[in-house]
Amino acid sequence: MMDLTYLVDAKTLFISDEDRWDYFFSALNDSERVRHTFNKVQSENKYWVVIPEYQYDPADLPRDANVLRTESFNEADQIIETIGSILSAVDRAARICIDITGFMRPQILFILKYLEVSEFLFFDMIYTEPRNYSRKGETEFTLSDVTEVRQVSGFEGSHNLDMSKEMPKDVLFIGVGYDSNLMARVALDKDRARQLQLHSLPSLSADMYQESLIRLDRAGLPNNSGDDQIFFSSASDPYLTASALSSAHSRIFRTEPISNLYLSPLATKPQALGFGLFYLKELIGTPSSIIFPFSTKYSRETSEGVGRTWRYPICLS
Amino acid sequence: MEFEFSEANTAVADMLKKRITILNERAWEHKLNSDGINRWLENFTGKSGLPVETERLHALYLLSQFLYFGSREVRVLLKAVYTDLFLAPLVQLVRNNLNGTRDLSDINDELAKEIAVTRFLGVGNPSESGVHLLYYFRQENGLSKNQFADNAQLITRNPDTGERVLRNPEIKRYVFVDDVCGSGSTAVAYSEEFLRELQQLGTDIEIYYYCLFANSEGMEVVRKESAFGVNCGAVYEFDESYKSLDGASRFFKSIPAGIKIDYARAVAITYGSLLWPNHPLGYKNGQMLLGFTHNTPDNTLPIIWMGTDLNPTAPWIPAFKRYHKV
Amino acid sequence: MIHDPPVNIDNPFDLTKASDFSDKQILNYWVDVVEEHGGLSTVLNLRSVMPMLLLGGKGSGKTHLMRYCSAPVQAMRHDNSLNTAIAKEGYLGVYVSADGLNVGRFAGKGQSPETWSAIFGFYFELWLALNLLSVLVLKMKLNAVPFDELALVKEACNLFDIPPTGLTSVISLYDFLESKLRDVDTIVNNSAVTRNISGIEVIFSPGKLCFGLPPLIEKYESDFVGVIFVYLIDEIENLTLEQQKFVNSLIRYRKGNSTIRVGARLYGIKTYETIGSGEPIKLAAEYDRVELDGFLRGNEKEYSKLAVELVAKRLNVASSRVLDIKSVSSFFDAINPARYYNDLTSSLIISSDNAAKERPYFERLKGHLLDVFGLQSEAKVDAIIDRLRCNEYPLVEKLNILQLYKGWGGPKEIIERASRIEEDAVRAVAGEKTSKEYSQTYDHFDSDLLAQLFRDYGRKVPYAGLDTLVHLSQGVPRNLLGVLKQIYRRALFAGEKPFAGGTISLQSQTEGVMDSAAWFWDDAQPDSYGAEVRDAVERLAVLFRTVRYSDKPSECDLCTFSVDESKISTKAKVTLERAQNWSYLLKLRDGSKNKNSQNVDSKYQLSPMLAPKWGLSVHRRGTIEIRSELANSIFDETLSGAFDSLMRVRVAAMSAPNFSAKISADQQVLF
Repeated sequence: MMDLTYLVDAKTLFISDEDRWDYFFSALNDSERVRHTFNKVQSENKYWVVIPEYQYDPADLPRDANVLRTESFNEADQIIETIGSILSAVDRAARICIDITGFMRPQILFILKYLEVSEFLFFDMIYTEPRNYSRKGETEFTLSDVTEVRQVSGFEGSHNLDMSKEMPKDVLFIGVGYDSNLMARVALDKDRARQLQLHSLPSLSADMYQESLIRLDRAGLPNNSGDDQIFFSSASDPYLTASALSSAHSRIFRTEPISNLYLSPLATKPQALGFGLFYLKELIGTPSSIIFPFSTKYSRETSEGVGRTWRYPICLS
Repeated sequence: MEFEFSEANTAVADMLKKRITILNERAWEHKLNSDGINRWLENFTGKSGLPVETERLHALYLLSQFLYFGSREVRVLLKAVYTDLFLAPLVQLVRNNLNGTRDLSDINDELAKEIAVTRFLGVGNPSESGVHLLYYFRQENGLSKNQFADNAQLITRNPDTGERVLRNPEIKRYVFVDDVCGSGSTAVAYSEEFLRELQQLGTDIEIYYYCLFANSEGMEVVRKESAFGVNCGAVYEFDESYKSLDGASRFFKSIPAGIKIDYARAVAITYGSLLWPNHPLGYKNGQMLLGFTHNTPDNTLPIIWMGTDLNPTAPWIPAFKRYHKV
Repeated sequence: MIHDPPVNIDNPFDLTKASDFSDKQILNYWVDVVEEHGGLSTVLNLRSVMPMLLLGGKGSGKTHLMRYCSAPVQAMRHDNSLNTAIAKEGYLGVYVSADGLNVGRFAGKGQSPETWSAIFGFYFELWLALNLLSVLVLKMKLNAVPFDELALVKEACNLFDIPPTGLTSVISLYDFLESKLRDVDTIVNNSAVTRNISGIEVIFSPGKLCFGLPPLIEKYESDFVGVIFVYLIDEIENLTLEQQKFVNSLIRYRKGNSTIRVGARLYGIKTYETIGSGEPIKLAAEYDRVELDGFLRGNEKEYSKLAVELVAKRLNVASSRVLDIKSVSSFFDAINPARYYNDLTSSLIISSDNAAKERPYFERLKGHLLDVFGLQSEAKVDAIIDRLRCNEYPLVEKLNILQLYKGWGGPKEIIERASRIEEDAVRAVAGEKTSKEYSQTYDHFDSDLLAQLFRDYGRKVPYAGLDTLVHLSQGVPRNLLGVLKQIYRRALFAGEKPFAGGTISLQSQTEGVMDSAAWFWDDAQPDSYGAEVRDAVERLAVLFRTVRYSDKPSECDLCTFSVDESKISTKAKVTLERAQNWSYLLKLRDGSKNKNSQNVDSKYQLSPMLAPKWGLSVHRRGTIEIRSELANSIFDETLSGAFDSLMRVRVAAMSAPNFSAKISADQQVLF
């Protein structure tokens, strides 16, 4: 029988008239799908979170809504200064919703951690797809080069420190995405680790899987079929992603013990969420961490139109 | 590659060749090679009125955009049919029936019961590829043979009354698995022929149609006109941007210099008309650029898959062969 | 029918595992290399307690060299006997890599930099000590020698501000240190949310532990008498500037029987300052510095051997069959230079000859000659050109043209020169001795002429042959794998059955080399100045290319330049450093004396991995001296607007028909 641990919850289509929350947070950017959703959502309190990666001027900010601003580039500081400043005094049973569409992946991960540690154990996250995934050839979403590859706050784990033994059996598990530069940077950072890949298949749109293979090649990463290094999971579903990671993890561990495990979700935001759920459930206290190639600038608009909005109920108990 | 492009087109041709080389290694299971491509390009001899080199460059471009799902990928998609389309929603249904419980063992027990009264079937007769997929569907998902049924066995005759009755009345859910839903006509025809009766004989019975790939239009047809109704879905639904030569085509959104959609269209139509006069751009104007390890669907542009064994009157060497559902 | 792919034709050169080089292989390889250089004691000076910075670019061998010195590998060299190793070699290597510390977490989270500095230092030293004890435990396992463990541990406890109680064995001390490390981990990691690092107590003064333990070990365990304890701390480019200050402090305050070898990328050292008000650490007085980059590159023989081993391993050759360099070479078609590269050039000219068109280089020459002789003198010009013809040997024709350009002048000089060239050419084709000037020109410029010839015919310059491929990779196995992977893919696609009965064509090799140049160019770099560095290197390469493909190149096989670094802008210097850090440019040892300033100029070569991207030579011969103005326009982004015009001036003397008289302003170094 299949392990249903992660499938107890499932994504549902978000229907604006039906769902209501007490607190709603969304990261401001210029895309229609973020702004449109903010307007549709029904919540007692709604907040825009303004992050420095999008480089907004004070003059550009919406005047008719609550705005929480942070200048820090550390995801922990960013969330605590914004979302944390509102939620610290709030009843733990309050209904909370976060729109992850505009947040950076490390921020999404830290939000999970923050809510868990603060004992908000039931909340929702929503995500809006663009109407079309247009393949724009060489589009890069980051505007500046990667400044550093490091662990995501809250997901640092307890890595093995004894290096005087023989070559360590480190493993790097990458969520394969579209950005060759990001993938190459992470692979470079842990170039002595055995590299595993989680591919987004089914991908968000049929041609994206094949495109990602080309990007993967450009990043210099291998794609050998024989080596049991490749795993697959749906791109748009965090629960299925978490489930796939879980079974991949047990499989890897059965064949060979891992000295240090590094995870890096470089595909979609729902995928990153899935990584977070898996980590919080199974990897706390182990020599595992989530690492990410950080940049300081991102494009505010990378796709067109408004597609479906998904609601992901999260239960962290 | 033997065919030499002139200086003006060399850079683009090199780039396309490089892309195809990488795809061939990483996605296309080495189905093609330089030789194969050359022979395919030789099909194009200037009949559209464009210079031969332009025709070949555009044919090469179309080829470089081809979407191929190999054996490994198809297996993954079959798993997705089961897990993403069938199982995950069923878990929610079961939870609902148990008042929203989060207890895993309760859920598992109830789920097992539901699955026990479910049967998986193919669409079409046993030798068609849709049915054939069932074998791998079963393997990938670790299901027992008992979960599967044959269309012919759904309804039988009561030996005493002579009436047509359900062979297994305890089965409440029939899930049909297919590979491609193009226009939806297959699913509709199938449902008219077999499934209306099924639903009459067992009013509680739920029937589902899941496929790997579907055209949005086709899926709409299934929803509106077949017995499946809204109980259908595809792992991948293709919207109009997958019609490779229409204005909204995603394949021509960002193109290299020298490539024009009009030229590509001219090439595809000219030769397509010779190859399959009734459907020059693929069955019911499919205009697809899609193929998989076990076959190339006929919604795909005929210039990609037509061969002399399929159409003896127009000698043609395919890039990605098709085995016909005769 | 869904079938699984027919044959496993995965690319054997795909970069899969880092463990391509297990400890055993490192051992085997380095034994030869290091012995060549007088052994480890010479290279890393391991019998000396003077700390050392070991700097090297990606793939310079630095990490492997350091691992070679680590205790487990020491033991391996001596039949798994660590005590024999330390007795013979005089040191004990404790290898650690800063990469594993994941230092990014010692920042932000509401704490001040000073707080993090203290925590980091504490953690770092605990970590070093832990690894030291781990090695000691290894020794005790491999070669146990009875010693007073309790006394050792008791004295060790006294190194702490408050001696821990209840520790009676080395293992228990190890566990104690580990638990302290874990405590810090937990508090630091949680501080992201809690914003609180209380609970971390620094329980010893900096340096007490890592320099205090080795003398104690020596005191109690007799095998360690006279042995130097070497902390091999690798990859410190991962540390922040503040964190590196701590390492520098360790260097300054090193004492007793231990020492430090710090490994970092070439420009990975962010500061030489120390903690507190400290003055920077002083070269020669407080530390030595070794730059490893030339190391592997300079060892072509050993590297070739390693290359063959690598290929053999990847091709899964059974160990009974020994693949030598000759048989591996035979898998690759090579360029045959005989008879003026006739094999290669004859197929080139067929297409245009068939079209009864003039050969492109003669077309151009005609234009230049008409310029000198006047448009009416077509007959005269044709006659001159006919003298230079040599139908079966296009390369000889190119040579003739170059010779003509070299003796360019007025009509009379040209006619006379053409006639002498004709004589030389006839002799050359007949295999006889030609004039010294003629043969020298060919010796120097043969590969440039060949490249030009291919360019004239709109074809890619060929790069082929195993020795060329090995040379391209510049002593970096990863590069070699990258090149072979691309070549294999192209050859397979072309149906050549690579390594499976067929040979790999020149075309597949060339295409593969071009692909790997693109890969190398795009390859991820651990910092964020991508555009600047690439633009600068691109300008440089364009300069080289313009020279190579000019009518009268001033240098042959040009991919090297020299510059007086004291005269260029700061920004230019920084970009130059970065380009080196990325191995786009290789710094050469033999900088030449600047004719004017008497300073020693720095000399750099464009990486052979990149050279094919611009059709440049991968072997270096000629060098061009670049003055500060041109150098700034290449390497300083803010001054790059002037590049085009400055370059044109610089190469004016190489372009027909004028070969600009303005030669005196530019120094030209030939070889």
